[in-house]
Amino acid sequence: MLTRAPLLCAAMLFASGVQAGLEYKWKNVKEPHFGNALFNLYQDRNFTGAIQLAADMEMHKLKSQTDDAELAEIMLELSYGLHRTSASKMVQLTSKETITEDFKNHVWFYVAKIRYQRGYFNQAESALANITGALPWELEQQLQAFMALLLMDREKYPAAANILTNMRGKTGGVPFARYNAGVSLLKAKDKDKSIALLEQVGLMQADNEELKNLRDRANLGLGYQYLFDGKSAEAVERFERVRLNSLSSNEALLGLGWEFYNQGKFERALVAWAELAKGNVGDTIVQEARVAVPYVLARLDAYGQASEQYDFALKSFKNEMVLLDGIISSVKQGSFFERMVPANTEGEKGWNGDVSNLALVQESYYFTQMLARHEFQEAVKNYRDMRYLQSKLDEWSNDINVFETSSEQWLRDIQVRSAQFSRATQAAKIKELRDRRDAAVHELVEVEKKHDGIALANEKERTQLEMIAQIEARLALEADGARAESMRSRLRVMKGRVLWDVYSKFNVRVFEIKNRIKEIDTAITEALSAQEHLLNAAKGAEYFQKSFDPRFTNARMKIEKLRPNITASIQATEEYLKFLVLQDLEKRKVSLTSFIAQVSFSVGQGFDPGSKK
Amino acid sequence: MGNGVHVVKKMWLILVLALNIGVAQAAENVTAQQKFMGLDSKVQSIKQDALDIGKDIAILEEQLLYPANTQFVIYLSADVDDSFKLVQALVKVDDRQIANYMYDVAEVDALQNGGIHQLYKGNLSLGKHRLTVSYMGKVGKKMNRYESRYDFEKGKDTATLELKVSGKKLIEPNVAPKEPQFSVKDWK
Repeated sequence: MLTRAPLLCAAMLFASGVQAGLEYKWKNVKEPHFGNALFNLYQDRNFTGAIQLAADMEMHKLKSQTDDAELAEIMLELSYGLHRTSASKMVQLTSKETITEDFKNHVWFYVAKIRYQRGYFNQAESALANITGALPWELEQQLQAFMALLLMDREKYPAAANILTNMRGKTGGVPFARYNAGVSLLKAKDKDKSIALLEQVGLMQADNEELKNLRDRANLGLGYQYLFDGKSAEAVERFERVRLNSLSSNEALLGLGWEFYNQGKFERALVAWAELAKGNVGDTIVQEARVAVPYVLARLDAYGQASEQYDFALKSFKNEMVLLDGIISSVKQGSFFERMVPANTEGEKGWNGDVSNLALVQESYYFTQMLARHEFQEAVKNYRDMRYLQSKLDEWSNDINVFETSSEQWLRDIQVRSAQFSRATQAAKIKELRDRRDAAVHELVEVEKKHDGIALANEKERTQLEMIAQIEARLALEADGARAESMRSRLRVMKGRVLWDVYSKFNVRVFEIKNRIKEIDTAITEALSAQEHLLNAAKGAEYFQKSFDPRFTNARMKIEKLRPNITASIQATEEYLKFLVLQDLEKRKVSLTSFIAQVSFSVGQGFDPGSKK
Repeated sequence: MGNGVHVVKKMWLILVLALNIGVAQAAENVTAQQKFMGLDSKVQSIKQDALDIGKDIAILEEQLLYPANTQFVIYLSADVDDSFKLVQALVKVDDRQIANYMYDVAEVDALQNGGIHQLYKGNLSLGKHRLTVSYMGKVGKKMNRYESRYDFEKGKDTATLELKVSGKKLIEPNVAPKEPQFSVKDWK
């Protein structure tokens, strides 16, 4: 059982490691385009974020923080999964003073993680070699654990154990490292030290599910080790430490059953196995329990029940074999992955996207287990991302059509407006304005020359002056006398007041006329400009619209060029996934065949001759 | 007892054999890994090409639909801590509603970490305009509404306004809750 432990442990370590890569946060964000890139990055909108930032940078939109934006672009591309591009950009940027050691280390760590999970072990090591200076404690722990994992993958177990056992502390990645060290020492045939380390993990305080699973795993490993060593009491105690309904509970129940069986406690073995046998028959542990139940029933002389249970096991195994054959056939026929991996929005996230939410299909049970393996997980991510890009190309093609249509419509609108514009009407309007201006200027010149205030009098003043003139004329006809003299005198005063008003406002009125002339001048200029503008707009719009034509064509060409590559990549990835799935299913069939053979043999032998008392 | 151990070992041998098909398969796995690397390399190139096309289309869209002389963009930033949670921002220009955005938890977190949200991108005529923003947010557990106005002039270049929300330590023991502050930065 311990032979499978490092795989599980690697997965656990990397679950913690991914967090470290994403934890890099910028401070003092000011520039909105850069800030928008971070808004996308922090939410894993990596594809959209990388595109928008690249476009903003190419259009020189960023007025400041351009260095930071370059780094944000690297992080977006890296989170999307472009470890090759990001690494190459980092090499180019690494001499820049603007890059902090902290950022550099985070990126290289992240690059190493992606490469490790994708199986590029040498390149992962090269990426780690770029990490320099003093690291924050947590990152340092993860770096050590990571280096040990790389050694374990090369089966250099003593060296890995050496690194891992030197890690100090109780938090972060240390418990995982301790567990891995235990596994490494076991592989290095140093059983005593291995058990000592696993015992530490098996007894640790765990305050989260991840650590509790690790503790269960350590106790499970210890249980089987003691079982093989014939240390019954220790084995039972370790198996019983494993939580019920945990990821390791089935294996613990199986081991516990065997341990009770070894001790001759057949009833207790039966209880453990009977419980386990109720589980999903697709699980090899359950299959084993279904063989073990009748086996122990025979030891209890319950031959009838044993016979029934053998029949039940055989029947369920054969059904399972039919199911496996059906799935194998379905996988071979294709279209299977299309159903299982929908092109959902996780494709926007890229490498960082979750693959655990596969569509629920009949076969999901097997694939959930396969997803624990890096090679399967990474291939599924690639497959999903390619399908997402395939749908994105369709979307972009449609966008280009819409842009082109709206651009043509816009041009047509301008051309219609331009056609409706009448040169003659516009010319008559301008002539009329010019005539009004000339008349106003002529009047002003005359008035100013003669200082003719009356010419500028308003309507009320003109009426008053006319009335005064009429009264003066009438009084001129009247005989002189006191009354007439009095009236003439009052009329002179009235006339004087009106003329005072008229001449005192002369300068103001001249100024107002000048302003009116200016307004007419402006109206003439605007009319001329509008005429010019509209005529030019039609020409300019056509030129503007035509300038987009080659860009539409170019974008379409790029899309159509990429499309077959994506299709080919989807097909190739599907073939690769088929290979992995079929390999896994065939293994299951081999295991199942062994159990069927064993059951048939036991039944044929009258159960198990060696087991009879 | 000894027989029991023998049986256990036999069962485990079967299981281990079943799970580890053998040396031939290990060689097959190495080839498979090499195949994956080849595929992954192609996937990386395709993704890079797709990003380049996406960038071209984003630029095309911007230059065609939002020319600089009419382009109008609104961003929203939040210098806040957990004492203020922005829920909604509703934006009007000259009494015409142009954006109404509800923020989810992930977006609020991104804003708190320095992310800036592009709330609106559109076109606007030259001249004077009035921006009215209605915010809805929680100070502690209490939901409040706030409104701010800003007069600005759209010139011949892109108009970029940043709505800035500030609010840290709004709730402290034995003190009445404080109000967040709202301002607008014109990126001329």
